[in-house]
Amino acid sequence: MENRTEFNLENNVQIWKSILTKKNNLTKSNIIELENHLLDLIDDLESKGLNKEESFTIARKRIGKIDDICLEFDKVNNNFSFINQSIPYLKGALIYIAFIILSKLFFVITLLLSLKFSIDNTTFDIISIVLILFTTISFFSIIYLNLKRGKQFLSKLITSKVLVTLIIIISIIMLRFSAQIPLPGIDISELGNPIPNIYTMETNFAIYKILSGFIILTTSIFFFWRNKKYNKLKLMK
Amino acid sequence: MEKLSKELIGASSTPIILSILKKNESYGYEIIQSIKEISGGKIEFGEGTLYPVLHKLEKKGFIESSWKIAESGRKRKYYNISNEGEKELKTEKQNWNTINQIITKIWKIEPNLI
Repeated sequence: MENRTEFNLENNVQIWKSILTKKNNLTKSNIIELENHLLDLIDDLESKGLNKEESFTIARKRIGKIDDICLEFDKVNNNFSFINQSIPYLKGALIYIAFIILSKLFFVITLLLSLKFSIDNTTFDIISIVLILFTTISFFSIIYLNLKRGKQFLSKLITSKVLVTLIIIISIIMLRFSAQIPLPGIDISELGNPIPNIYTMETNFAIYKILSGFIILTTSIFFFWRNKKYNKLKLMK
Repeated sequence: MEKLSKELIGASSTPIILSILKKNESYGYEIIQSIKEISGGKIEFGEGTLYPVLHKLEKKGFIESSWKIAESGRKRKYYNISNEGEKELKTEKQNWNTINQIITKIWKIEPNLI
């Protein structure tokens, strides 16, 4: 009966600590203080004759529920937790901007290649559609995989505050404006006629980008409200 | 005797912590041990929630903190009472004495309330 796996104290403390590090409202020094408190408690309990596993379980219980601790810390660290909560949104906005740049890059590459190899309109359309599909699928599948792996990319993106929603809206508006400006480095008058409607193409891309932005925004708002409702219920308990 | 309510513990945490720190500088774990010892186990709460209280007092300027390395090699944040904190402790003392006097007075006038 002795083949029970041995309790690894260090490992368990690390797991407990990793839950703390995931919280938005704790600073690094808060975590060090709490971790050392846990270790002091474990030492104390061990010196009273308890084994490692028992000491860890009791110490963790005596420190209290992580959610309760975070709720209290949130009142003290409110400035910090606001910044921390905003970071995922900023990341989201950055990813969106990167996505826009990437799609523009694809557009320019297609354009240049079609000029170089004198591709006709139909082939050009097919290539651009394939590229658009490829970008969209890879972008959304990255988000989906993140969600599935429990990284909660989207739910983190939306956890609170209107700030980042605003950033996303502003970036969409900026994009709409930038869509009106012709591509840099390419003189459209020199293109001749291989691609008849460069402006239409650009506008199409802009509409496509606005649509994907709209999808991200709607999902964000949905998660934001769901989260808000959930927090309310939790507080009422 | 039953354990004290959360509200009462919350309200009394400032004078209790400041009184402990007035004696000596101390760190979270030691403060909890002192509270337990003095209260005879009547004050009991999630030990982790002491830290936000300490940080709140620090933010208000009642206590100051500094990191030190303990014998075990662990980093420890030691807390000290500040001049501002000593003044606050005096006020707290007066307030709690006043409350105590008021309640005792009521119960003396109407002993059947107890």
